[in-house]
Amino acid sequence: MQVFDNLPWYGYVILVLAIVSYAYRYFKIGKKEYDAPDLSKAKFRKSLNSKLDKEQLFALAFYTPISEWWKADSNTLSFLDAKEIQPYLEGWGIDTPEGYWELTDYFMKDGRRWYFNFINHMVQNVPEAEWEGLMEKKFGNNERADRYLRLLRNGEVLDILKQKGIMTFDSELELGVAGYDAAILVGQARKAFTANLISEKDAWKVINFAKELALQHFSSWEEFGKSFVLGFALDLYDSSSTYWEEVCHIYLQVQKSPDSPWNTIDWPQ
Amino acid sequence: MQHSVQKAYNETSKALNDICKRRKRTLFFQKIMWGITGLYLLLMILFIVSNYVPTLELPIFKSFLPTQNNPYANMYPIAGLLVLLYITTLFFTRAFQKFKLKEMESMAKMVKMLFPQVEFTQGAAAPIKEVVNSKFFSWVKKDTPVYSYGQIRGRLSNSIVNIADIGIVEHNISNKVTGGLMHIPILNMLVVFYQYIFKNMASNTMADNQYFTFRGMFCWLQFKKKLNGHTVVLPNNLTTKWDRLASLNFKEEQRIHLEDPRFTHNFRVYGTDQVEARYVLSSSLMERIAALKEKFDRPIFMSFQNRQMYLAVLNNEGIFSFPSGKLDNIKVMEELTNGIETALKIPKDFF
Repeated sequence: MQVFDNLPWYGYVILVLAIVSYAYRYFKIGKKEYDAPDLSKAKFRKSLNSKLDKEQLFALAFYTPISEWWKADSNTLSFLDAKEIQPYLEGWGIDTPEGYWELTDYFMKDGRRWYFNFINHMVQNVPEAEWEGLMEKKFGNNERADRYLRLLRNGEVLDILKQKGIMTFDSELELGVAGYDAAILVGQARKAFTANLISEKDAWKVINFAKELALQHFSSWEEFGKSFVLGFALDLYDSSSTYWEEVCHIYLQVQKSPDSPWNTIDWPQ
Repeated sequence: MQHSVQKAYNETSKALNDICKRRKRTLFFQKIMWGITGLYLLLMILFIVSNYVPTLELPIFKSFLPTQNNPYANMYPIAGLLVLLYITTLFFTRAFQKFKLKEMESMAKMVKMLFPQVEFTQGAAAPIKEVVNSKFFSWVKKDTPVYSYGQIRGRLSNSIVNIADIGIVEHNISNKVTGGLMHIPILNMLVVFYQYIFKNMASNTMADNQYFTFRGMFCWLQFKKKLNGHTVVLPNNLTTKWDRLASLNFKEEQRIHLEDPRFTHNFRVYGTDQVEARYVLSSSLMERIAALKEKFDRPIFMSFQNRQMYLAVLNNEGIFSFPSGKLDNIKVMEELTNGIETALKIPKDFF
């Protein structure tokens, strides 16, 4: 300790600065590691008891990136079990049949397409000075609409997706977010059926609607996937949780893995 | 086309001059920054050596000898250099960012004016899957750093052509040897001095373009013939030969000896099937490849597999970055146009 006795005044300053900087970095890195997303490997789980036909499996596959995150089977209508999905249903306000049908009606008629189509068209074609008025008139005080505008106005969402290797060209924005709406419809129908909120017949009706919606808009899994991830990014990129990063990581595997339903089930031509 | 080139040049010449000035400024800070880093390292080495060789009395140390009143005098020059290094790094980073932003902006404008029929993107991830599939690069794996400086997608005569400007840092023989030397004390210091300090100070290449083992154009497009294996056409030089021999990534390949002397003088061919390689490389295609090489006037790489064709053209300056030196000449614009135009015409010229 004699070393420290002989230090000049500035030596103590440097020593204190070094200790503080080390402690700051230590805790900062520790927090970062603690908050880091859990980047899991997609396994494409399959139930041995599945009796679904190819068309049904095709429609269920829309929800693959998110169902993989939940670690659910990819070939059954039921989704994990009622207890596991209860917090999700409560979070979306769809834990009652009325709540479920209200939200499903919204996703069928408008969904996130309502936001995206209007805002993207405005950003591309209308002078910036008029945006505020148009946004107020269409959406009023709407947090989601504001977020969509923020992410679309300077191409921020596109840059994020480009950096992740999901999108390459600006024109891919034209794919819209119908893929995301279709996937959400499929996922929520599966969960509502599992929670006994709707019958099997109604669940397939909703899923078939989602299938038609996707077939109307896209001609390949590649196009569908880009639209899905665009909608997902606009909805969740800003959220503080690691959910966005984790699903994005799974999405890239769903796209590339030879075992993925997107590579084993053909898109109807 | 000449009219568009002239028009694009007229509209961007001011920006080009500005880019030239920004590049000069950035290079100045780059050299200063690495110069100070060199001095810092040198000083550290001399301090270490002076501990083991007490007879080494350098005049520079005399003024910084520790005394009872000032026991840390020898730390002053090191601390001073560290402060200088921090300041110059700050200046360099700022100048580099501004230069790159201006360069990207002007390049996007130029490409849009010269090729309004194509899509152009910057900031997208590099086409790593295609680079790996092309089998041009003996040491490239899925985790090899590949950078993209821009990508074009053009639709011509029912065919899509993708053109990217990429930079790759391969772990090739040369980098493996350098990596080995870094484990040897003293020698590693010399490597650092040469690889980082000397190279960055002596050359007029920007720091981001210094360590690529390949920089240039990379294209991929559909190929008419259905193939079971692959055929790769590489420049006929020693580096390619040794890299291909030493790499274990293409064990299934064999050398294909073709008879066209003009072609074999310029290219080495590897493939998985002797017969298929000859089916792909018909006499007329070999002639067109040789002509393409002359048109680009740079080393070119080509490969064919599974209805896909890949082409790479070595260009150390890149195609979507402006070349070093003066930019007050229409030649800059002409070179950019020729390179992209030639690649876009491949489907028409080749098939």
